[in-house]
Amino acid sequence: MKLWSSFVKELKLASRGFYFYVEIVLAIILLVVVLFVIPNEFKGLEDEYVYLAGESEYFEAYEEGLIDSLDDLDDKVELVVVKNGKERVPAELYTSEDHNYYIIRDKEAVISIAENKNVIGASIEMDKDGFLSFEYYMQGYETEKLNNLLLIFHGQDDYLIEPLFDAQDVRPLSTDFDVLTDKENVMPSILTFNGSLMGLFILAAYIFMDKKEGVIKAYAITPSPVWQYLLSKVMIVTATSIVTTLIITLPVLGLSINYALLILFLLCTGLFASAVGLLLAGFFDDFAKSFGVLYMLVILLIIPNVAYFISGWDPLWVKFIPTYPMVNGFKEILLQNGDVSYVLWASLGFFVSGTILFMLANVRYKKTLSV
Amino acid sequence: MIKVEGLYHSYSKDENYAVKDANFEIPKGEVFGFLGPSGAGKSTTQGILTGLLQLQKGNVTVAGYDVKEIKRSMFNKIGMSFEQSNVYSKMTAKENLQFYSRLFDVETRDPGELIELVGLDGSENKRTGEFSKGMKHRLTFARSMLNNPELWFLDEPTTGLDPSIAATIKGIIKEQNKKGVTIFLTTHNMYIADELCDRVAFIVDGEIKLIDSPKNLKLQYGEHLVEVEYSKNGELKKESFSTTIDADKKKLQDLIGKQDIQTMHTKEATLEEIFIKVTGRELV
Repeated sequence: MKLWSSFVKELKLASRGFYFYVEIVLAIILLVVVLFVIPNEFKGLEDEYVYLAGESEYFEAYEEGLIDSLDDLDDKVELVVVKNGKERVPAELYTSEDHNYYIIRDKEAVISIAENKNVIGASIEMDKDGFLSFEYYMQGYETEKLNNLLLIFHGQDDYLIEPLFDAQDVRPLSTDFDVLTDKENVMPSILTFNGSLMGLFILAAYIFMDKKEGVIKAYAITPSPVWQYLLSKVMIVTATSIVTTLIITLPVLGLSINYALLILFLLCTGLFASAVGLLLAGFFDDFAKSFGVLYMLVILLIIPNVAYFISGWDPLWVKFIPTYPMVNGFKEILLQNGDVSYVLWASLGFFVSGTILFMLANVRYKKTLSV
Repeated sequence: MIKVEGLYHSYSKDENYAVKDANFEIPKGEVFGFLGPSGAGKSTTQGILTGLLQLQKGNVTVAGYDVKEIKRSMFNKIGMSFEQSNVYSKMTAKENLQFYSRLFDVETRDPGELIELVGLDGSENKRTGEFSKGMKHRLTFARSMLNNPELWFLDEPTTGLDPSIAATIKGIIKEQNKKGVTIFLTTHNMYIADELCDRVAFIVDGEIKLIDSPKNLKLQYGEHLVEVEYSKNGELKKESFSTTIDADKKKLQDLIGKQDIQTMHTKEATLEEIFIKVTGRELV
């Protein structure tokens, strides 16, 4: 009953405060971004600039070859003008699914474009023996692998390389997997920060406001234990995170995901994040004094997000940062055939560690009440 | 109601004590004043008695509870009015009291009645963020009465209040005391202490220098003189007479009978003067 009274009080304070609306507005902004800005699939068209030298009959054959080999979308060459600073360079544009190829008849212009636009340029000429000669204008940041690939590619005849390509045996280890669209793929990261980690900051903000008003002292001399005061804060923060998460997930994902699992995961991660916020706020008097630690914490918690988006970078130590299982837990919930046991184990982990942190925070608050 | 033996407290957990070897006992129904300048150790002692600070050394019993291992039920018996008002600024006066009243296990007073008692009626549905400092202070004071405390801690209860409101607050304190409530009053205002307290303790640098009733202190430290101003032949004259020497007593009687007395005052010492005399410190 006392806990419920405290929760109702927190509900009133939150609804009359600033931070609650910040969370709601942020959730709506994220929803708009996910719905209208992030596409289902990212289609980045890369531009390539090529100087092609030689006799006109070669060009005609080459153009036809390009249309066929590049699988040009409209099967015809488009005459365009490429802006290169103040200069206008005429070019023939071939468009494939992922590339724009600009064929330019001026070698100097290609070199200049490569320099000005920081892109790779290429020059293809016929040498005196009638062989094609390839010259690349690189930027210097290209990987060793790409450089070696170009060397191999032009250092060997096609008939030698192609059989080797064909002889490669590629076997999928698993075919029973689901892939998220690009839009869905950003959701775990958004849910981690909006749904769980916002709770950390909001809870710290609520505690600092109470410290400023001195109300925690008034609470401490009532028969209601301090842990109920702290838990009511965790409850309101977790409830808000569930609401803001549903604001985003329902319009974006509809009813296609397991909402019971999502709410369970939000409850456990919310408990963990808000317990961290509680503990942290217990060591400082106000936001300004806690800023340094909060900032470092944010940086640390962002790192697993980087690992999530860069699939080749996933060192062991990153897996120990709590946001790592958070992001991956949300991902498993979003996948149609996601790993439910992973989500359940992660939930248990967050629940246990959140409870321990909460108990430590309770001890800290009881000890640090001042007169 | 309160028993303190050998109480020490150090914020830095070393020999630098904020409270040093404090010993006192307060029987039920007494108004006990804890007087001292800022930083003397008043709030620290009060913090330990109310459980806001952990007991480090000594034995303290409050309302029958050992403060070493505080039981939450102790807080059903005590009330505390803080010097710094601490109410939820986003809630109304009534909501504030309603919320706190639900935290007690005993019957509580009606928030509306308490709001009226401290003169805040008409503002009960206003958010306290819109309140003046004095109004917040009165609400904090009202909140401390919610659970009908047997033991009432009052920290500077009239600070920042205008004289008429301060008089109302003093009236409430006297009324509660008449009902048998024990009061632990922390203040640096000697006039309030003089008016309300049965006994006072002077505390300086964490040490209790003296405990006695204001009356005894005045008798002990005041001068036994009467100062008289009278007019003689159109001229205003001033004389002092001892109240203990027979010759002076007779002279005073004669003067009252024969001369036109303008003013007459006993030369009692104020608590403030006694405090300075005893501690060598001023109450700032």
